[in-house]
Amino acid sequence: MTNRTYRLRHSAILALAVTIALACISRETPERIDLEVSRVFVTEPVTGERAAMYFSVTNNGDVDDELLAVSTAAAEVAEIHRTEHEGSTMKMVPVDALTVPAGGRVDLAPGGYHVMLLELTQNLFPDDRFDVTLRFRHAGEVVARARVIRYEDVEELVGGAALSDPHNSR
Amino acid sequence: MMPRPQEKVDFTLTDTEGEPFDFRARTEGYVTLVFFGYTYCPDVCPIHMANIGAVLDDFPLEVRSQIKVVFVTTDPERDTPERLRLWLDNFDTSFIGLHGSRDEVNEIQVALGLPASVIEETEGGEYLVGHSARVLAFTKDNLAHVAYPFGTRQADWAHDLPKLVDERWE
Ligand SMILES: [Cu+2]
Repeated sequence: MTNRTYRLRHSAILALAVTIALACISRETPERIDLEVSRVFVTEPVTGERAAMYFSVTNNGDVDDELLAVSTAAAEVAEIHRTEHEGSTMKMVPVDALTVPAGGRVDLAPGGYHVMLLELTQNLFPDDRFDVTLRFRHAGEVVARARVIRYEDVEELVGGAALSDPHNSR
Repeated sequence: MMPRPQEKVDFTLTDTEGEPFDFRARTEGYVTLVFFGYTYCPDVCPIHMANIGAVLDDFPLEVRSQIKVVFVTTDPERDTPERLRLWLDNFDTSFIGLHGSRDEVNEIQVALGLPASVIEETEGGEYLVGHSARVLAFTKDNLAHVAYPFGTRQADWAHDLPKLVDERWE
């Protein structure tokens, strides 16, 4: 009998110890990092030299991340650009990084952010596919597949970040 | 809708054949869509042009033949008439491309109630062009009652253009 009581108590203590250990692990584990890159589209380069790339980044982790750089064999240079709006005037400006908040999603889209591919190394035609590498501050490198699309398909496949112009009610 | 309809202005610029194009004379009696932009523009300009081009493709000839699209470059140094032609042909070979000095073009934009374009140098000898994202739609009364912002979708053009041809707007 005594022996059995001891064993019972022992297993209870063990269970408690496991619980504490788990609690410690979850408290001490660095934040969960989980980024997903989807809907990667590149516009057909109309005059051959440059193209715009759009994609979505979903941050399922619990730490804010930052897109720092993009690279691809299809272009010598890839820059992150933001379109600035001043009244109805728009212009694109390069930015150093793009934050993807924890639990949030960032959609690169016309009128908002895009990645400008400059000095293309190959001809790109609609439906061509190629790999792009996105470098994030925490998640590191994420490789995704891009598809080339026509400009007239952008509104349907990518949508737009600037679908309203507050200075003009149409 | 514009708060006040915009009147046409008189100007003559060079078309992609190198010939003078008298805007008022050559657009008299047509629905004329006027847009100021540049061919290195990543999304605003090509998306506007591609959306209009795609919609025109689906119109019967009698409607299509009553609409002219005039694209005026805000980047005359890089957008040679040849380059303009090459770029516009991607969207519609009937689109008219006009070329003039920066000062001339800015003067026209201001006269049409649009902001003048801004050119900003960036490091590396590159520069960026800020420009209005609106398309002015002149009807046969030589007034623009409507200006279309960036984000106008093909469905909007498909809905509105035949009405403009019929002298209806709202
Ligand atoms: Cu850009």
